[in-house]
Amino acid sequence: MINLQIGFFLSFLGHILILLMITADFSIFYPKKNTYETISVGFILEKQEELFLKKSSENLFSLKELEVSELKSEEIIEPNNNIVSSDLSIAAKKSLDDLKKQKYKTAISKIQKKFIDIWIKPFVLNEDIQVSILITLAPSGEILSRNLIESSGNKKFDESAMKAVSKINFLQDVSDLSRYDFEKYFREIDLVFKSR
Amino acid sequence: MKRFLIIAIFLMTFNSEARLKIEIAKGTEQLQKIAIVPFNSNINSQFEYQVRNLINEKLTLFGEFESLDLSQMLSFPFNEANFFVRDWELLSIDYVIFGEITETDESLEINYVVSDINLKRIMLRGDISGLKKDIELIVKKISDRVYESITGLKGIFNTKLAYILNPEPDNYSICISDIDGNNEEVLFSSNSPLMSPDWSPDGKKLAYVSFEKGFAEIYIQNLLTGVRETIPTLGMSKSAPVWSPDSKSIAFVISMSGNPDLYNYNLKTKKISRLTSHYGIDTEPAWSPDSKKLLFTSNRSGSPQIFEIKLSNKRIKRVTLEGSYNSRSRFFPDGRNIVFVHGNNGVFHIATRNLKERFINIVTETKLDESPTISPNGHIIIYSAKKDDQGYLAGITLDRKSKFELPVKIGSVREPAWSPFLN
Repeated sequence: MINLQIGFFLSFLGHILILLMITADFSIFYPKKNTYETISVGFILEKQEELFLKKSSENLFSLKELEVSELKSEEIIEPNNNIVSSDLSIAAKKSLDDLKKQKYKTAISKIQKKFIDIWIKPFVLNEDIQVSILITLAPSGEILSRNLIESSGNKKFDESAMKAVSKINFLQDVSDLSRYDFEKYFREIDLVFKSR
Repeated sequence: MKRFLIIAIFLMTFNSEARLKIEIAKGTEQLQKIAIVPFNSNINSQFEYQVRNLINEKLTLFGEFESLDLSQMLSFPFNEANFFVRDWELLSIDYVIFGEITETDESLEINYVVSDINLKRIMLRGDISGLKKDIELIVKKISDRVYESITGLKGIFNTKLAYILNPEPDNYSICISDIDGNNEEVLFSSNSPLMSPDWSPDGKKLAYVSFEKGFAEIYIQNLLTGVRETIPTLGMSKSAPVWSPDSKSIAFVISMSGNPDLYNYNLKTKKISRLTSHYGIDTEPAWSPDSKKLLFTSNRSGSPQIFEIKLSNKRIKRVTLEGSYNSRSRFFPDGRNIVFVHGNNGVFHIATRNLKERFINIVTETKLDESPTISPNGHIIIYSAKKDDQGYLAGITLDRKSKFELPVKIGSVREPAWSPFLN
């Protein structure tokens, strides 16, 4: 009898644990207004104002919807500040989305510019070649590893890209992002150097 | 069953998103920084200064490098033992060239090292010796090797340019000079016009057009002996000779009754075969690197355009599809790209095109650019430009589009022809 009860209780706990794991990953439950979240000790204290009053599943994937192709341009896209809706929660939600998108896009533009300013591009005439270098970052922006994952077929081209990546040790633009965004998108970055 | 559920739910929590990709499609505009350290020499060598200066001139010729001033150098290494990367890292130098010169009565020996400061490793260790009187050639060879180790491109400092000089009316000469315009030699002078110089693939002969007989005739001159031969045709007006890369034939144009067509002259059999027979103007032939095709300019479709003819079956196809004027085409050494003059509304530009693509890339901005010639490494184009009605030679590198001009001469300079790699 007792075994059955313990067994049932443990199984019940196990299921609750799994449920909590899932919900923690997707953040279904929102913390109250005016919560503070610290990122790393001694670095940045970030205030995240969550203005949501009720949960909404579409918000979970707001950043996921961003197409990578949108971010190819080097310009920083200004957020749309014209909020027409009179509903406060929708307006608040939009501006938070824009804020997140802008930070995300700003970080990418800045990273792009850093590499453009340092890359000595070798001569390739009227041809499309590209080399991919994978970098992993620490939340501070420090580049922890650099690995050539896809060669262009041109040794000098590959070498020039590796050289450019080796010259940079810190990408401090990622330190501005939320821990969540950092882990999801900026922990590992695929740098693609193209001939045109 | 329970365990399976737990594992399945656990696995579902992992994200399977694509990694963030950041594309970088252009590089820095800044020049690479090089430092040429004074060479160590056994005697207080005046040649040291000369050698270093000449190497510096060559490497900075095309605007690709910025060289460090002597006054800013923190140390003067001459071998790997006294070379410290940090001294150069502090100055943001990319490459350092240092070494030793050993001098005897008549000869020089130079040991040099090229170090990559960013990768912190030696790129090249060179050793060259020769007679003092050949100092220019020694410097050219060193510059070539240094350039190759840095850029990966074959060096062209030992190549030559042939061109037509026209200092005053009724005074024409064919000249050759170094790439920077130095060491000019006159090959042939005439009171009648000279045109279209073209190099043989071994760099030992030059073909050109001369009007000394009263009509356009092609001459082949041996650069060493000065001996001149002609292509045997009976008094017909001939022009635009181009040597095939396999050295077997010379393609050219015969104007029979005012109708220019392409012909091919076999240098071994001395036979001439006809390639085109169209009532339009067919001229300006140019060989593909594999000697199987010729590009040429023709107005057979109404305006000057570039066509291609395959020598095996004489099949012709049109190459340029856009623009009202396209002419004077040349193949790049890779055989995949071409350079040509592209005209629109009286403005002419030098342009390049990948044959597999449709769009053209404009290379120059000045209005009256003509006669592009490509460096044997496919990296630089030299062409004739006009300033106040005087022709001069200008050049442009194809990656950075950095421009340079050759020293101005007295009179017009025209029709530059870049030599092949010379030994």
